[in-house]
Amino acid sequence: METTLELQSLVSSAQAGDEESFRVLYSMLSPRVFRFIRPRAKSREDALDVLQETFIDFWKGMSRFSYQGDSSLDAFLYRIASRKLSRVFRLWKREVSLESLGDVADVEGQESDHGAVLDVVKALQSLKSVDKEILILRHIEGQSFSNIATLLGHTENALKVRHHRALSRLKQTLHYE
Amino acid sequence: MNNNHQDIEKALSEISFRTLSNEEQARVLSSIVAVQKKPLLFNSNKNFMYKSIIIALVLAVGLGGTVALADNSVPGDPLFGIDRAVENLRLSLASSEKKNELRISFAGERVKEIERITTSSPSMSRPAATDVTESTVTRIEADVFTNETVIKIEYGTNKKFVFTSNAKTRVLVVEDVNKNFTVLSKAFIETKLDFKAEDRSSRADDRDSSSDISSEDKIRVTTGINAAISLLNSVSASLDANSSIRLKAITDELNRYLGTLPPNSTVDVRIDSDDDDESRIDLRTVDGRIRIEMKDGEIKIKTKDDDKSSVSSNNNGSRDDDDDDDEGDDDSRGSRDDDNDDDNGGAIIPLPPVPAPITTTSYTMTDVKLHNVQSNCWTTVNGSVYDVTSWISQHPGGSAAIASMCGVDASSAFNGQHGGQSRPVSELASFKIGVLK
Repeated sequence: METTLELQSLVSSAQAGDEESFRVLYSMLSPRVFRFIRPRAKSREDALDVLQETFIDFWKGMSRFSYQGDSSLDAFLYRIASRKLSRVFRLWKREVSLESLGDVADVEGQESDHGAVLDVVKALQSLKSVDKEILILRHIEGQSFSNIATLLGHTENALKVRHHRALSRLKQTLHYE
Repeated sequence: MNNNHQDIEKALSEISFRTLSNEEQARVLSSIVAVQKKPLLFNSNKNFMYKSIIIALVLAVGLGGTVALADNSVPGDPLFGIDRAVENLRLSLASSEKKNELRISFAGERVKEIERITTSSPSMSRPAATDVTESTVTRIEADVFTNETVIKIEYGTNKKFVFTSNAKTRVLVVEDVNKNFTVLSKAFIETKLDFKAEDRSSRADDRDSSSDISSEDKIRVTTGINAAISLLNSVSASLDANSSIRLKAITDELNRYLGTLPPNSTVDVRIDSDDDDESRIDLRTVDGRIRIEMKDGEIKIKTKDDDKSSVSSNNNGSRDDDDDDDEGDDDSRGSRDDDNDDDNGGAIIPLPPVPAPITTTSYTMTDVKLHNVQSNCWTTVNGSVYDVTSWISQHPGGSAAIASMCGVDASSAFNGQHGGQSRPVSELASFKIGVLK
């Protein structure tokens, strides 16, 4: 993990227009940003497009960014990425094809069934965006309820209710019942 | 209903995606760099395959390339307008973090130019020798300030030439004028001279610097640049969304720069591209012509005063009421000769309606605040004022979003929501009523 000092100096020299610093920043941050984007995008290609757009905007918008710790940098990038995602979201079809899920990693472990995981991903993508976001934050990114509640602007209890309902709807989509 | 969601929670937590591979990371980076680089590509253009892009680039390159030349021009030189336009162009092409830097350096250049005018360098346009004769000179005024002497020669109809000298006495001033204009005899100068001593330093306005910009030159360059705008406008039709947004921004910048143009100005834009190595843009106006040539990576800008009668007859002869800009812009011609009498093939493009409301009407924030209700709703975005009353009910994102902006500045809301999108930008532009003072 990069140190705060490193990131901070990279940001400031990139802000001054140094391209090399921007490249280094990109190589440090892009895997993280991609991890954020991928579950929210319909396919890997879409996700890569959004990643590209995100960093273009990041480069352009850098002068407005003031460094207040690594998390502020992440937040800045995630904010750009979510804006890009919601913009392209309208253009995407609701349906996700199985082919576009070729990059869903096969989980090691004897009892898990890759086909079932793919079905869940598919069902997840067809959910309403709020439901989807809650489930991604909770299960794919493994965030705590209190974190998610702050992020989405709910109380923790309200969030738990929403989370529960999102799970029910996911189940319904999967015809688990 | 089964409220135990353990199974599905487990399935969800098993989802993971392949991480970003090195190859993917590199691929995305190269696209990012390509986009970043675009505005900076002033020298090499091998990546640009489409003619329309070449045209846009020729213009960008052409204007970019004049910077060195036009930087030295002061108001009054025909290139001055280009100088200003180049700055706006560079400004709008620059990434945002470069913008401030550029603005600062431009401001520096402005100051230097003013200095150059006010110190009456040799670059100031001297009247032609035939214009200043004993029969045309009406008045000579010499103001002796503590630091220098400002001499004004009024000649012809309301024309003026101002220069400074070190002469402190009446006799020396007469000698100085005589030295500069040998056709004027000392006795003549003596009769016309109005000699005044001022007990202070001279100021810029003592030198009448504004009157040095001949209205002809002003018209010439502004007309030429307006032509560039229409060129940019038509080019953007065939570009991808990103480029057209950038071009739109340039166009708007240029529009903002333009002063008022005389009505009925016409301009002739032609693009000759014999091959990829040489491209040429002629901006031809009733008053003259600005030519931007690019050959083997070298850029030349020429201005030329055409014989007015020949140009105007040319206008009449080939005037085409069809104001389809694309047609004129795509006019590829093999001929390289400079003679404009056989230019019948070039389309004369009537100037796009001068964006009068854009350049002439300005409002204060107080004006805008008066229109803060849904039935009469003005708002400002990025320094422009818009009357969006009719748009409230049509906004795809709901009427509330617009209604909440009535009478206030919507820049951050607009940029946050629609920054970089072409559709909202062009929709918004259609509601523009003026600029913010």
